Amino acid sequence: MSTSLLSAVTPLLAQIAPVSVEWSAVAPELLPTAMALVLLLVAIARGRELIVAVPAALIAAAVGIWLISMAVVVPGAVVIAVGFALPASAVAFPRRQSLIRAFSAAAALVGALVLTGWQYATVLAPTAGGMTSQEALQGALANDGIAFFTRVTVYLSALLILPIGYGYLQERRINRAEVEPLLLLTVVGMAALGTANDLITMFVALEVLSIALYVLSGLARRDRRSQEASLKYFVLGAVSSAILLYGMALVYVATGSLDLAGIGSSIGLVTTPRVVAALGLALVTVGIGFKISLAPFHFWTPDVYQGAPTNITAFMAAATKAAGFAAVLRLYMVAFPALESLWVPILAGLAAITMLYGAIVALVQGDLKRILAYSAITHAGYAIIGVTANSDAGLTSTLWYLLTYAIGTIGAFGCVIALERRRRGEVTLKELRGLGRTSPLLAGILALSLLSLAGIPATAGFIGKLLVFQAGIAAGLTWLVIIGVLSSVIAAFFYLRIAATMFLEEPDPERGLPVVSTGLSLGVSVAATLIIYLGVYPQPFLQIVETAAALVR
Amino acid sequence: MTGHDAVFLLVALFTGGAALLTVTSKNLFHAALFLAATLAGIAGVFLVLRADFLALVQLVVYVGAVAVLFLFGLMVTRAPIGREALDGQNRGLALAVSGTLFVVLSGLIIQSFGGVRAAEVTGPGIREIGIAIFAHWVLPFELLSMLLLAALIGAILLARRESGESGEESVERRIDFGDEPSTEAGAQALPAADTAGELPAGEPVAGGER
Repeated sequence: MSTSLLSAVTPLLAQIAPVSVEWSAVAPELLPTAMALVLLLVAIARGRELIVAVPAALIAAAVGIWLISMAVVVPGAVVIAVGFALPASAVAFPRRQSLIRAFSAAAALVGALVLTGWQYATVLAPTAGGMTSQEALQGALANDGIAFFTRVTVYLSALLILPIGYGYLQERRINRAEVEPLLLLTVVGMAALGTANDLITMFVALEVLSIALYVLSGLARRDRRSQEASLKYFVLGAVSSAILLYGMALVYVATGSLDLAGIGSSIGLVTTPRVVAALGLALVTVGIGFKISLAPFHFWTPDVYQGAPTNITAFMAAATKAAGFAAVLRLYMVAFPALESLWVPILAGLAAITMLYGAIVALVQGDLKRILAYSAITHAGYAIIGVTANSDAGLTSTLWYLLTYAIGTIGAFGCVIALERRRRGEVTLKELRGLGRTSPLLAGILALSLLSLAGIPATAGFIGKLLVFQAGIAAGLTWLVIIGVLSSVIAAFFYLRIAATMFLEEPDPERGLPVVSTGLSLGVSVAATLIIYLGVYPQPFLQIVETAAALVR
Repeated sequence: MTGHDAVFLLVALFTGGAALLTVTSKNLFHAALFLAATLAGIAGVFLVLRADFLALVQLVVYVGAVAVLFLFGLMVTRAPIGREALDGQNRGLALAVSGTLFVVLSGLIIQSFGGVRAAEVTGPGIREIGIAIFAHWVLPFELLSMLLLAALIGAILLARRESGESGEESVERRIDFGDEPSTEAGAQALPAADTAGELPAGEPVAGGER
């Protein structure tokens, strides 16, 4: 029986065997995936972490040595290092499972960042001349500028969020064993969305990150607002996924092709039914507009951002936006350039509404998390200007903008966490009075992050905004850029109002000091350093950005 | 009208009728059953169109899993099952939306493909589909397994009771659901069951761990 089964399977395997798997193209994602699985096993081991950690480290060492013997030195070393991070942290922090998990997850994310850099050095830019693009896994995956920047942004955001959120989760007693594995799975989904080069991979990656985020935002099960956030995000996210899928199906019907380059080459042909393609484009725009919270489709954002645990909110605001925009860039610039006359006005209109609406509504908010939620909506509007420019400059400026926005928003939410920890419940503007006197460093970092979000010179946000607006003007969208500047002025008002509340008003003696743990101060300090560094000396990174327009088309 | 057309018409009428009953039924449980019938009818449509693999998947996934999940969900969550369970507030709006969608879609399909006479279709066999999944579509396939993993972890995380979580919740509600109290005192009262000596007693984070 078994031999007959084997003989039946063998020819099938022979047909699959010629498929080549370019492991280097997915190398950064493999590490967090493996670590997520190992951390789940650690959670089961309950206090005897070494039972899992030692075999995992041995397997990692074997894989690493094999890789080095195959002359792939950097990934081999990274695998060995990450593999030994788990038993090392288990020995260093006996009986503190959450610390072990946090350190191991951070090690996996650092490893993923190193592998992203290795990928950049060996595959994307082997010579100093510029960036090339790589197509892998039968065209399902594109390794190019979008993929590189999405990976950097997403892994960096997750790496900053881990220490910032650790104390917060501990205090709220929601630091459950599933948090880090889910976070790692979300990150992998986001990175996969950044590399997805066909509609199916794109949709599945979007669902991986969405499902994990639905759960993470409902982490505080005893908190009604968290439950509400999770349910609202889930229902609206599912509806938007369905709309997106409908649009993708129509695009497939119109073009008969699923990979983006194929769609791009056949969508402009005369034989392609234009109405079907246009309807597909419209539904895709609505569906993806939900995910990146463009203005008419944004209404879930403030409630979800406010209700979710703050570290998850920060991660959502920073990383989900980067991953969603990676999909947007790829869809519109690779698959739909032939329909440019249709989607550029639509996206420009959406961008205008988003920028004005977010900025104006944020003015009347009192809750700091809600203000930052509306600010996140506004920033989606700025970033979409780069997409509407539909040029290489637009593409690269959007990627850069998303990176700077992610760092700024994580810095701001990190400080909100410190304020939230002194008193449960929401942080209103009143809470911030005189913070500049009582804890100047925290207030300084919060102010710096807000200035970066506002786009004040010498911060990272300024250059991002400048590049996006430049690309918009170069593409002839001057009216949109004027609206963007107008919205920036309005937004600067509420960012500066927060700063003024902190530094100009008298402190309230009854309020306690914000709780700043080691992890939190580490996270926000790194974010603040990056804001200043990328604002003052961005040249080496801008050189990478300029070459990032090499796409798989 | 060939026999093939007649069978198609019968199956389509059955599916449409079941779909209509799904939305007009006053009883939630009946509506779920009619939904299962609708999904089975769609499997029949696929069969008539010679997509046997698709029909099989439709039967297994939708009729076998999704519809049964609906029924389970109705029974487990103590949802109101009965005559008054459904309200008709948005009936007009729903009718308008679905009607518009129907007109637009059928118009589109007829306009785009109405004139095309389809050749006799012999869909790909299960063998070809399997090879395509594991050769060409291997990345989305593996991603799907991560999707399922994330959903599984999420379901465990949301469903399993665990004392020592924070958040405000009224006492009445807590008693109603029969949970352990969520206060820190409650967590300390149950150290043996909950923390299993993972952290030294008295450390404030003990309850959140397992």
